[in-house]
Amino acid sequence: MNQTEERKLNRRAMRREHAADTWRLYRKNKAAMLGLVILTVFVLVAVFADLIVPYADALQQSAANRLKPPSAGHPFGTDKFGRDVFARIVHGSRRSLSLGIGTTLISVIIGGIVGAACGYFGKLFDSIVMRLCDVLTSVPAILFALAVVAALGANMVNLIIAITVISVPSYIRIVRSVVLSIADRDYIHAARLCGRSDAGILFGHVLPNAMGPIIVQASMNVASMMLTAASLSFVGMGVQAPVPEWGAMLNEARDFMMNQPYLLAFPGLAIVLCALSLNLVGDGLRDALDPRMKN
Amino acid sequence: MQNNLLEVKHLKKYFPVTGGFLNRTVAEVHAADDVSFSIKKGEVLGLVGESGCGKSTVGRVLLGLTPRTSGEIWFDGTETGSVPKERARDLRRRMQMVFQDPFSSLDPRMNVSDIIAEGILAYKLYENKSEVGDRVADLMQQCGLFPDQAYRYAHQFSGGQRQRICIARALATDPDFIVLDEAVSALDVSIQAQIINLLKDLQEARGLTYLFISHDLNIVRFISDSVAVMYLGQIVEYGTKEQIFGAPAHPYTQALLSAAPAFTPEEKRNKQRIILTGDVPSPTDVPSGCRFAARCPYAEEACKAEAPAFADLGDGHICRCRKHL
Repeated sequence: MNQTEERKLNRRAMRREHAADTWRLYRKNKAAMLGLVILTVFVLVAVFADLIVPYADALQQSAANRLKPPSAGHPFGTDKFGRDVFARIVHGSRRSLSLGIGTTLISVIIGGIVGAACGYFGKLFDSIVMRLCDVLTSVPAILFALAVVAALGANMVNLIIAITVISVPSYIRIVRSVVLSIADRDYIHAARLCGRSDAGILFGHVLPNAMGPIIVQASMNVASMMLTAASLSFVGMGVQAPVPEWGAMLNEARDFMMNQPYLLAFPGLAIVLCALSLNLVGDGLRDALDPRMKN
Repeated sequence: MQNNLLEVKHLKKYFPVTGGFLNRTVAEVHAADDVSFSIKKGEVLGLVGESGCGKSTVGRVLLGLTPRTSGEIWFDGTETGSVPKERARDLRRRMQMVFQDPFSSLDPRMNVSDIIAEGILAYKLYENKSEVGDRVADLMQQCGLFPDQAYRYAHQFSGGQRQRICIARALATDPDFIVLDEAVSALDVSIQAQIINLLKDLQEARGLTYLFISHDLNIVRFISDSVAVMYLGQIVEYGTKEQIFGAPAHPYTQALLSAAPAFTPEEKRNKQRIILTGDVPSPTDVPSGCRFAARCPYAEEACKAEAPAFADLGDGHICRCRKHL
């Protein structure tokens, strides 16, 4: 019993050391830390949006204050309806972040499981899924998303479904190719000899080792998800008009690009910063999570 | 034949080469062609041959990592291909493998304890957490590892230690038979000796049966009881260690032995090297006669015409060569 206790403590200590190592490795990466700080700011803004500026400000129209440049009252200026751009960006972060990150998470989970099954089992299942992916990718993404939203109706949930459907094939392909290279390693054969089931090997060995490329691809993909959502909002198939969303704001501002560039700059900057921070965090995570990078 | 733990009869493994329209099979690689041998309980069979002769394929097919094309594999009186699922699982538990490359055969994301415990948990040999822990610590100790390193990761160990982890993992399911596929080839010579001694000690202590696949004749000579020599997918000579190393009958075995560094000073004096010319024929297009005829210094016309059967040289020593028929 004493020995068991000791072993438990030993395991716990090693796990703590492992977590500390991961954090130390992550912290050494300056760019990744910068990304983490920016991302944290965005998430905090999205969570506490109502405390920063009331939601009513983001919708309040004022004909007298149309297209005003940045000033003390309106730090990011006002748009063509006289709405405060700062308030719209703060509140838009909720939708933009949840759209970008939410759809990416769903696509990663679906694409990861299906792709891993393709690479691992191969044969007929693989052929069928890959041909289906070919069909999906052969239709222009935006048209396909439009068709999905048009068929299901325009709201936030259907928007997420549409964007997920068009991004899943690329995840399936990436995960499949990574899994193909892992599935023939000796430690997979050894696990099979140890009596593990296919599902056990897939979730216990193959997927954890395929995580690196998946994390990077996912973090790069968030920005393009946001932009796709934005283009759908623009044609009226996404987030509905008065509700603030960065992509929709960007599209509205296009008409004033020459005379009021700040209208374009602030939502664009928000998207770029958000995407950049996610990329940096993704890169840092991949390196920090790889046990071989330690020591 | 009752005490044979493993008996392989006419085992064939052809890998299809696909190409052309709709992935038709355009050729077949004859990786193992009519391979038969048996291993007695508690013995070590050394399987030697040059790269690409199919020795690793034989090991993998035995354990079911690659499906066979045809033939029978009898393990402890049961044909492994035709047993009900439950029995097959138990048979598989009793056969394990140690791979050549100690770097690719350990999952980089698992700690040593989890790696060794994997088989124990999957086969439900022990359920209780502390019993599993005891068993892992015990196995690590037996394989020359310190149990307090149990929660380290594989990359924190040296090549020799990693191979010890692999051996501990193979022993975890309490097997009777272990395939050692070039298990020491990737290690330094000094480490090789340690691992070989460990394998030998474990074999004696637990009464294990090994199939020792290697191209290093001196190691095979040290660890094996009997030896099978493979050439181009076929066993060309089979006999006890003394028969093969004392009186090699097949020209290929003779050439192979002459290429190995001398074992004793006496051997060194008497050594004459047989240099083989030519290349190994392609395993997709094997010659119809003797497979070694194109490189054999004693080849005659008749050798190229007809494949020789095994010649019995007495006491179980057999050789696939015309001049002994």
